Amino acid sequence: MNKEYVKKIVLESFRNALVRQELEVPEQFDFDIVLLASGVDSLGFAVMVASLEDELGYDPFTLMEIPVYPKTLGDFVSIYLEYSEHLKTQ
Amino acid sequence: MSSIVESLSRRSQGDVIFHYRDHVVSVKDFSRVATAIRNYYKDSDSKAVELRVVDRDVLPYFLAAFDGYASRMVILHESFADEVVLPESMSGHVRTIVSRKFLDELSYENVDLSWKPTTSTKWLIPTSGTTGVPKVIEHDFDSLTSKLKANAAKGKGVVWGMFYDVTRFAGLQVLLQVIVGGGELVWTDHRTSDKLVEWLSDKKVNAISATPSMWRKLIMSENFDRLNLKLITMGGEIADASTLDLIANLFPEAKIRHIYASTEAGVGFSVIDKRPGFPVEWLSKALPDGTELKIQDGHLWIRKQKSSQCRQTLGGDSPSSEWMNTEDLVEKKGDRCLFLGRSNGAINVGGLKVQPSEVESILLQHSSVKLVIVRGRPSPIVGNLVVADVVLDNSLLIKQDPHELRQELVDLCKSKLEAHKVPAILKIVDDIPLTDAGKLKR
Repeated sequence: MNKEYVKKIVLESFRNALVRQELEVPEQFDFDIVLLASGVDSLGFAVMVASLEDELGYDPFTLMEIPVYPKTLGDFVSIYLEYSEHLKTQ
Repeated sequence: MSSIVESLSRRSQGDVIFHYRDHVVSVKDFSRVATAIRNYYKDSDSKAVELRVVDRDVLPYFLAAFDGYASRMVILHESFADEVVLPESMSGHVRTIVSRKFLDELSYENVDLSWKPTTSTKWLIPTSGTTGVPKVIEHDFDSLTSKLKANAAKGKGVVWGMFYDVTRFAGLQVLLQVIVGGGELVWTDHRTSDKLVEWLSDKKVNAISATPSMWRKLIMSENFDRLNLKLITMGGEIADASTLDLIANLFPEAKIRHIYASTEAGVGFSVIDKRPGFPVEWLSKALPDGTELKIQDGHLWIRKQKSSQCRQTLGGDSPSSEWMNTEDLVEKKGDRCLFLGRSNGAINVGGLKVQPSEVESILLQHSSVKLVIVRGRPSPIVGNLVVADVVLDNSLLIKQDPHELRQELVDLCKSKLEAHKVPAILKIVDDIPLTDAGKLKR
C-alpha cells in the first residue's frame, strides 16, 4: 500500500519535472529510460528530490550510507521504495 | 546645540504628545517626567548612560532626561543588551532600567522644569544585527533630526501610529519627528489584536511609517482602508512597485514616501513620486542637501554632507566624509535606478545568483498574494534551491483551488524569470513572521 503510494508520488514528481522544463510527457512511463537522456537537468532533479522530501518526509540520498546514483527512472523509483519505511504518516 | 528638551520648549505645553492605551500625555507632562528622571540621576551628569529598555513605550522619557545632559547614551533592549560590546567611551557608565515600574517609583516632587541642556549628547544606537551581534552606531540629536520636517505649525494635527520598535533607528525617527515636528504619537501596543484598526481609527491616526512587509500585513487587516491616512512612509526594505501601487490606490490622497536609510548611514534620501527606486539623474548631481550617490560594481555608494553625518564607533573606522558602500545592489533601468537586494543576500543555485527580492517582486504582482518571502534551501545537487512562502488574501482563497493558484504563481514566475530563479517549492502559509525591525527574516 505504502509502496504503491510512494511509486505514484515519485512518478508524479518526475512528470512535474518534465512539465517544468516544458518537455514532452509520455502517456506511459518507460522505467528503463536513462535519466540523463530524459531532458531533465540537474536543477530539475534537485527540485524533484526537495519536493519529494516535503511530500514523503524523507530524502533517500541523505539516508544512504554508500552513495548510489540512479541511472534509469526505474532505479530512481527503487531507491525511494527501498527507504519507504521513513514515509511520514499522513 | 539642539536637544529633546529644547525642542519640547518650543511647543505648546498643553498639547497632547503621546496616546497610550489608557491615558494621554501632554508636552508638559512629558517634560515633567523626564526632568524627574534627570533629577534622580543628577549626580551622574555628563557621564555615559546605558538605557536598558524593558518597556519600550516609556523610552522617550529617558531619552529626554539624558539628551543634553549625559555625554553618551546607549539604547539597548534587554533581550540582547548583554551581547553588545560597548565602546571604550562608555566605560564606567551608569545603567538605568527603562521601565514603567521605575517611573511608578520615581519621586515627582520638587521637579525643576527650568533646567537647560549643557552638552551635545551622543546617541549610541544598535544596528538591527541581522548578521551576528548588533553593532552600536554613534549619532546625535542634530544628525538624527537633520532630515525631519521641523515645522511645528505644519506638524500640528499629524497623528502618527507607532509601528516600529522605538529602540531602533527607524522607530527613533518617528519619535523624533513627533518631538520636533509638532505631531502626536499613538502607541500600538495591542497591534497583534484584531482591535488595531479600531484603535487607530479612534485615535484619528493619519500618519504611519513602516516597512513594506509591515504595510502588506497592515492592509490585510479588516477595515484598514477606512483610515484617513495623509502621510505614508516606507523604509527598511525595498519598496516594490506592487506595494507602492496597492497603497497609492487605497489612499489616493496620501503623500507616500519611501526612505532610504540605515542605522549606519542615517537617512540618505526619500522618494516621493510613488515609483520604486529613484531617478537616475540623482547619480549625476548632488541632492539639494549635498548627499551624493554613485554606482560602483553594481553597488550603491553614498556620500553625505558633514553636518548630517554620524560616526561609527565599532566594527570599522571609515572617516565620515568618504564614500560609503551601502552593500545594496542597484541597476539602471530606463529613467530609474532600482534596488535588487543586499550584496550578500543572493541565493546560489548551481553557481547562478538569485536575488530573493527579484522573485518576491514578481509574486507580489499577483493580486491574490499579500506577503511573500523567498529563501534558499540547501540542495546536495545544486547547492541551493529557491523556495517561496506565500500568504494569500483570505477572501480570495475560498474562491480558488489552492493547487490551481500555486500553479498560476509558478507559471507567472516562469513567464518572467529564468528557470533557476523560479521557486522550486512554493508553499502557501498562514503567516510570515517579521523581525523586531519589521523586516522579512532572511
